[in-house]
Amino acid sequence: MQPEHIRKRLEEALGITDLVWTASLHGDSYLVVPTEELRRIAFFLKEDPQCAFDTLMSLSGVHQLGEPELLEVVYHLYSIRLRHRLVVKVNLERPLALSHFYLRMNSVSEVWPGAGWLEREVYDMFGVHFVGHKDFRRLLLPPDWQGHPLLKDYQESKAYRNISTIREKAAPTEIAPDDPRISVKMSTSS
Amino acid sequence: MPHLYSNLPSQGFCGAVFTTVDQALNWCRLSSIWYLLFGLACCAIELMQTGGPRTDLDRIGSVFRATPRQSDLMIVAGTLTYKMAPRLRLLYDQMAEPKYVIAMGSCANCGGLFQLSYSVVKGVDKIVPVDVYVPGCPPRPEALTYGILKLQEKISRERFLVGKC
Repeated sequence: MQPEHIRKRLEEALGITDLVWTASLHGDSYLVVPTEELRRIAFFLKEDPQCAFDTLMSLSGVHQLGEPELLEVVYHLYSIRLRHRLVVKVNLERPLALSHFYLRMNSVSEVWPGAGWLEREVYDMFGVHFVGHKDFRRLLLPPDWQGHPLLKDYQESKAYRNISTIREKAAPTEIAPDDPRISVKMSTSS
Repeated sequence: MPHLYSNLPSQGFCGAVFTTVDQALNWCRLSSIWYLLFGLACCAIELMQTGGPRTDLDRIGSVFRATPRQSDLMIVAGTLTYKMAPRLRLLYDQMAEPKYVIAMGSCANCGGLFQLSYSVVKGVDKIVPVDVYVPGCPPRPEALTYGILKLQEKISRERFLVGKC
């Protein structure tokens, strides 16, 4: 099934009209779906016999600078049964003035159980909250970590648990001209 | 060499060795540096090689221990993250005195390749005191062996019972 047919089928079956299909010459073409419809669309994509996307290959995040500033959550879907694939994106607007705690969207971990850890990772790195996740906490970083490091405006804190994060610059090595190490080198070369 | 004590058996070895207690203790200590396995990344592969038959660490009395309570030396082999750092400090605190630390490889020395990352500690000397830094990415087994020999030299100079001289 071609991606264009999938979009038409989604629009017919679910009555959603504002799906955006972006064909790309260089990378994968993708489908941008509205945030609030994501769970319905995910259920449909998995259960519909013509779509049958039984595998979530990847779930990741992208912080896009520009106007408007976007936080994308990208889903790579694959159907083992029908051997076709689809890229679905959800765009979350991230105004600079707002805290990242405003970024909320629905979890798809009930549709594809493998999404659980991936959503935790996206939360860890980008601060997107997934509503409906069974065990929602950080995945890689320690639980008392401040901030989400893959955001473009992430500021590294000065210390973590009193461990300094400052890198010392190496002092320039001063070697006197009459240093024996130098004279040994020169005598061997001459 | 003439025998000083004629009442001792005079055949060959006279049966007495003169040393100081400090030197004897240091000799015992440096000849049995048991190290704690602390493999964090690819340096651990070289650490295993160093303990293996080719660069046999056993011949200088170093064997690996899987518990800090029996270890004299902690070889931090690899990239230390902030998440791991409290655990490293805990294991160091559980070791019995006297204890030593070798920072093996660039990551353990200063953060190495990952020092601009948000999650990597910029050198294990921010957590524990380090005795020997072994450079390399990763260091060859010979380099780590040399680091342990350097540590043996350091141990041999220690003075616990008398004032430092």
